[in-house]
Amino acid sequence: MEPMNPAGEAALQAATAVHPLIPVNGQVPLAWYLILATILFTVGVVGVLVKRNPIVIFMSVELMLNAVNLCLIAFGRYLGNIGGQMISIFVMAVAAAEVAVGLGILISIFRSRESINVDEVNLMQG
Amino acid sequence: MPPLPDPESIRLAILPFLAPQVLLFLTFGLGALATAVTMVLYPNPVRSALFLVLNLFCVAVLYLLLNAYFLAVVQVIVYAGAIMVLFLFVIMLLNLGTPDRSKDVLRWQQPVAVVGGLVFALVLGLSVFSTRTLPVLDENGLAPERQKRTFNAAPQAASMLGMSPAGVGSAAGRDTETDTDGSAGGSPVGNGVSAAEGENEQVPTLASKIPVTEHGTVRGIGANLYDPTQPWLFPFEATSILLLVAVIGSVVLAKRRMPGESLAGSRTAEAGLATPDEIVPGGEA
Amino acid sequence: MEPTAHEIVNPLLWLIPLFPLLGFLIIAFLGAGITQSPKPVVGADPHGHGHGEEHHTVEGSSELPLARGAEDAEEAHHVDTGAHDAHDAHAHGGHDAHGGHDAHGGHDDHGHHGHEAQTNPAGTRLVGAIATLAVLASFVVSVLVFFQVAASGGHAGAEGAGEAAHAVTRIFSPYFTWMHVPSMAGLPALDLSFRLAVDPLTALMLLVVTGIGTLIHLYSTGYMAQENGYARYFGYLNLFVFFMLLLIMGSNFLVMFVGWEGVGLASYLLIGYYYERKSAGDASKKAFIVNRVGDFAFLIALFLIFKHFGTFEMFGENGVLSRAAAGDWPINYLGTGLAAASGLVPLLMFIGATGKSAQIPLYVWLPDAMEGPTPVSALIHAATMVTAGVFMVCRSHVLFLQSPETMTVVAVIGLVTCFLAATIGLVQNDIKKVLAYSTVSQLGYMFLAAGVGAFSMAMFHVTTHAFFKALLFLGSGSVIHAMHHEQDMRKMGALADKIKTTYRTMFIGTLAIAGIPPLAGFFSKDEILLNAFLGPEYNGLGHWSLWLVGWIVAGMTPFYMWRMMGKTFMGEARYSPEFAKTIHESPPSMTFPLIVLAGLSVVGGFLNPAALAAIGIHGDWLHTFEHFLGSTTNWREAAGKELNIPHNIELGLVLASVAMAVVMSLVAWNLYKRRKDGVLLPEPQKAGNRLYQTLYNKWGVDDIYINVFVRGGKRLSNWLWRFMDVRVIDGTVNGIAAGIGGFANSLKGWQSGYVRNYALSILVGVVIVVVACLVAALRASAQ
Repeated sequence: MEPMNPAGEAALQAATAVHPLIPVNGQVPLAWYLILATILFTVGVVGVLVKRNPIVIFMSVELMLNAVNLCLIAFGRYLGNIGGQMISIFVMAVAAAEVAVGLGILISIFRSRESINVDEVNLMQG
Repeated sequence: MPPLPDPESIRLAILPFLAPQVLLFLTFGLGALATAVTMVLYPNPVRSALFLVLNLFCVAVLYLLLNAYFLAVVQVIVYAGAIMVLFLFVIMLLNLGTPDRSKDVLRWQQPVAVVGGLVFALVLGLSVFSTRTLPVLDENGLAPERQKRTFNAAPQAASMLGMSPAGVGSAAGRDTETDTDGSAGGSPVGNGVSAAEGENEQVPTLASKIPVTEHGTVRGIGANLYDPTQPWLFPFEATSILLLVAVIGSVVLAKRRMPGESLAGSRTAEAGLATPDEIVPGGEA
Repeated sequence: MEPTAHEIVNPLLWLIPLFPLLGFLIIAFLGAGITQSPKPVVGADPHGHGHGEEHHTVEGSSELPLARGAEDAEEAHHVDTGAHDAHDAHAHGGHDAHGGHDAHGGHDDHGHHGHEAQTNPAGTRLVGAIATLAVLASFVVSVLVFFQVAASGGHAGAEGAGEAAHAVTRIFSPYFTWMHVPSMAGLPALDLSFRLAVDPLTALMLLVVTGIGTLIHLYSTGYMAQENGYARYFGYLNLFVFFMLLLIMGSNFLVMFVGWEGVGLASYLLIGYYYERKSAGDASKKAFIVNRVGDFAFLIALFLIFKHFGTFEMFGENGVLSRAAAGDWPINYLGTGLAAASGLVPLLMFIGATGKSAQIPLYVWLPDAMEGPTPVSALIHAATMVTAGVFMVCRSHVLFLQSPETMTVVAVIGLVTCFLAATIGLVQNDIKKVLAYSTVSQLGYMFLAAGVGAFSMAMFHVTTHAFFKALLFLGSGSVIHAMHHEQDMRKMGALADKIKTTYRTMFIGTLAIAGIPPLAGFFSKDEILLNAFLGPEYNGLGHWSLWLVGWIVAGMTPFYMWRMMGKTFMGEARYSPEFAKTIHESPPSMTFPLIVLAGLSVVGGFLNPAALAAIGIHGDWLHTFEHFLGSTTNWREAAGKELNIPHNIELGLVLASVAMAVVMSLVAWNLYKRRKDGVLLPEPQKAGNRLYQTLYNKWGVDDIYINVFVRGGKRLSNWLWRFMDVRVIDGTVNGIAAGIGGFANSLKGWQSGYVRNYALSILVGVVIVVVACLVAALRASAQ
C-alpha cells in the first residue's frame, strides 16, 4: 500500500475498527466486497472446470470477469482512485469482444456436431 | 454456562450491521451469490443464462453502492442486455438448450475441481487479511487521503498544456477533509493534480475538475477517459480497434460455409463457383 | 660392493644399433620395389635361377621346378619326363601339405607360390647384401668395442685382492635425454635417457648376436632366395637385430624393455612370415601373446623398481644395480614385513624371462614358432632372443642374489623345464620340433646355472649353445631345403651321402650338444652341473638333486639328438628314387655358415675349459671367460664366497658326465643307425603306449592352456558380452533412454485433449503462484 500522509494515517488509525469485517462509519467494509468477489470468482472457476456445455463454460468465464470488475471498482472506491472504474470499462469492452469471437468459434466447432460436449473436442490429445 | 450478555451490548454489536448501505450490500450480495451458484449448478443452459442475467443485475446494484453509476448502467445495458442476449441467440441457433445428461468422461474432474476451488478461495481469502490494514471510508463515504502517485502519462500533452513533464499530479490536495460533498469546481482533488512534487500548483486539466464524489458519474468517467494527461486514451483507441477485429472475426467464424469452401474463404472448384481467374471484370455477376 | 668401473664415453656405440636400423628402413621403403621385377616372366628359366648360381652344378636337374613358383602353371611345361614324376611327387607332397594334412607333422617351410610378381634376381641380391652388410658392419664395430672393453678391463689375480682388482670397464654412449618429467604431487622426477652402455657382458652378447646374425643373414640369402617376400624377410630380420642390440646395450631398464618388446614384435612378424598359412598366423599370435604375459610381469617389476629406487638407470652411483649391491634393497614391499616379499622384483623379472626364454609356464610358444622360416628359428629362437631372458637375469644378478627364494625358484623351474622339454623332444617327428624342444631344454640348463649362482657359466652356455644350436638349426634348414621342404623325419633317411657337408657339420653339432669332450657343449654343461651339485658346505647354492636331474637330462639330450641324426641321415631312404635324384647340397651361402659354426663348436669350449682342472691341468686360462666377464657376473669374489671345489668331486662329476654322454650317444646312434625305417617302436605299439602318447602330446600342457585360458577366456568374454555389455551397459543406456521415454510417455497423459483438464492445470498453477506471493508478502511484512 502506498505510504500515507500523517493526517490521513492518524485518521485511519482512529477509524480502524476492531476487525476488518465489521462495518465502520456505517460503510460496508472493503473486506466484504473482496470476499464476495473471491467467492464469485471461485464459483466461476468451478463452473469452467465442471460443466461440459461450452455455453455454460463461457458464462462462467463471464462470471469471473464480473467478479474481477467488482474487485476493481471496490478498490478504486476505497482508495479514492478512479483507475479501478476505468480499467473496469475496458474489461467490459474486451469481454464483449471476447464473447463475440468466442461464440463465433463455438458456432463453427459445434455447428456440425450432434452433441454439445466440450469433452469431444479432444483431437489434441497425446 | 456463561451469562447472556445484556441487551444493550447486543444492540450495540448488531447496530453497525443495520446501516442502510450494509443492508443493501447484504441483500444484493447474497443475491449475486445465489444466482451465480444456481447458474453453475443448473443443468439447463437457458436457465443458466437467465440466472446469469439476474446475477448481473445484482452486481450492477453493488456497483451503485460503490458510487460507480456509469458502470452500473453499462453493466446492465452492455453485459446483461447485449452479451447475454448474444448468448441466448447462440443457444437458440445451435439448439444447445437441451441439458446434457451424458456421463462424465473425466470422473475425477468434478471432485478435484471443487477441492481446488475451495483451496483457491481459501488462499485468496487469506490474502485479504494479509495486509496491515484495509482502507476505511469516513462518515462521508470518502476515502482517506494519502499521497497519490499517478502514472507519468503523456509528457507531450503535459508540455502542450504548459506543465512540467515529470511528476504529473504527484502532490495531493490536502484540503479534502474540509471539503464536504458537492463543493466541486476547481478544487483540485483526486487525480489529475498536475503539480510538481512538493508543489501545489493547480493546472487545470479535464480530470482535475471532477471531485471525488463525482468520480463515478458519466461526466467524471468521461473527463478522465479523454484527459490527455491520463493514461486512458491509448487503451480507448486500442479497444476500438479490438472491437473492430472482434466484429470481423466473429463474422468470419460464424459464417455458414458453402460446400467446398474453407475457413479462409477461398473458393475451390468443388464449390462450383468461378475461380478468380475466370471472373471477367465487368462481365457476369 | 660394486667395484669401481672405468667409464668411457664413446659415441661409436650408436653405430652398432644404427646399422641394422638403417638396413631395416632402406629395405622397408625400397626393398619391395627392388626385389620385384615389373615384367612377368614366362618359362621355367627364372625358377631355376632362383636357387642361386651354384645350384646348377651340384645336380643335373636344373630346370626342374625346385622353385615352388607357379607349380600349377608349370605342370604343363615339363621337358624332362623323368623330372615329371619327381615334380609330381613333389607336387603331391606339396598338395598334401596344402590340403592341410597333419600326418606329416606339419610342412612348415612350404611357403607360398610365386604366382604374383616375379623376383628380380639382381634386386634380391642387393637386398640380401644390404641386410647382411648392415649386420656385418655392426659386428665390426662390436669387435672394436669389444677390444676397447677388454683392453682396459681388469683381470682377476693380476693386481691381487682388493676392490681395484676387479674394475670393469663400461663404455657409454653420450647422454641423450629421452624424457624428463619433473617431480610433482609428491612423486619423484622421472628422468629417462636413451643411453647405451657396453660392459664385458654386453660386449660378449654383442659379438654373439652380430656374429651369428651375420652368418644367418648370409645363410638366408641362399635359403630364402625364391621367396616372394624376400625384402620383407630381410627387413624384419634387420629390425630384429636392431631391437636385440637395444636390449643388450641399454644402460637403463627402459631401453632394455624397449628392446625386449621389440624383439617380441620382430619375432611375431617373422614367425608369421608365411602369413597365408593359418598355422603360421596362429603360431605368431601365440608367441606374441604368451610373451606379453611375461612382459606384463616384467613391467610390474619395473614399476616396483622405480617405486623404490626412483630411477631406471642400471649403472652409476645412483643406478639400480649399484645401489642394490650396496644393500639399498627394500625388505618390506607392500607393507607385509615378509623378507620374502623383497624377492618380488626378481621373481617378476624372472617371470618375464620365462616368457622370453621359453621356460615353464610360458614355453608353449617356442615349438609353434617353428612355423617361421628356419633361419629365423636359428637366429631368434636358438641363439639370440631366447637368451635375452638369461642375459637379463645375469645383468640383474645383484637383484636376484638378494632373495634366496627367488634363486631357488629360478633353479627349480629351469631344471623342470629342462627335463620336461627333453622328454617331449624324445618322440617328436618333425626335425625342427626336436631342435625346438632341445632349445627349451638347454635354456633350462642356463636358468639352472643362474639359479645356483653361476651366472657366468650361464652366459658361457649361452655362447656355446648359440654356436651349436644355430649350427643344428641351419643344418636342419639345409636338410629341409634339400628335401624340398619336407620336415618330417619319417620321410627322410639315407641322406648322409647326398648332402655331405650338411651331414658332417651337423654331426659335429650333435657331438657338441651331447656334451662329448672336448667340444664346446661339454665344458659349459659340465660347469653348470658342477655348480648345481655343490651345496652350502662348499659355498655353493646347489643341491645334489639338482645335479641328478640335470645329469639325467644330460643323458636324454644325446639320445634324442642322435635319434634325429639317425632318422634323418641314416637308414634307408623313405622316399622315391626319383625324388632322391633331386636332392643336392645347399649353395655355399648356406654351407659356409655351417662350416664356421662347426669350427666354433669345436673350439668354443676352450674359452673356459675349467673341467680340465679335473685331470690336472691348471692355470688362469681355464677361466678366461669368467674373468673376462668380471664383476658383471662374478659376485663370489666380492662377497668372499669362492667356491670350494674338492678335487675328487670334480673328477667324479666330470667322469659321470662324460660317461653318460658317451654311453647314451653310442646307444642311440647304434639303435637308430641300423634301423631301416628309423623307428624304434612300430606305430601300433606307439599308439597303445600311454607314456609315448603323453610325451607325444607334450604332457597335455597345450591342451590345458587351451582349455583353461583360451576357452576360459572365451567363456569369460562371452559372459562379459552377454551380461556386462548387453545387459548392464546396453541395459543402462537403453534403460535410461527407455526410462526417459517411459517418463515422457507417462507425462503424455497430462495432455489428455480435454480442455477442462487444461483448465484444471491452470487453476493449480494459479493457486501455487498465489500461495507463493502470499508467503513472500507475509514473510516480508513479518520482518
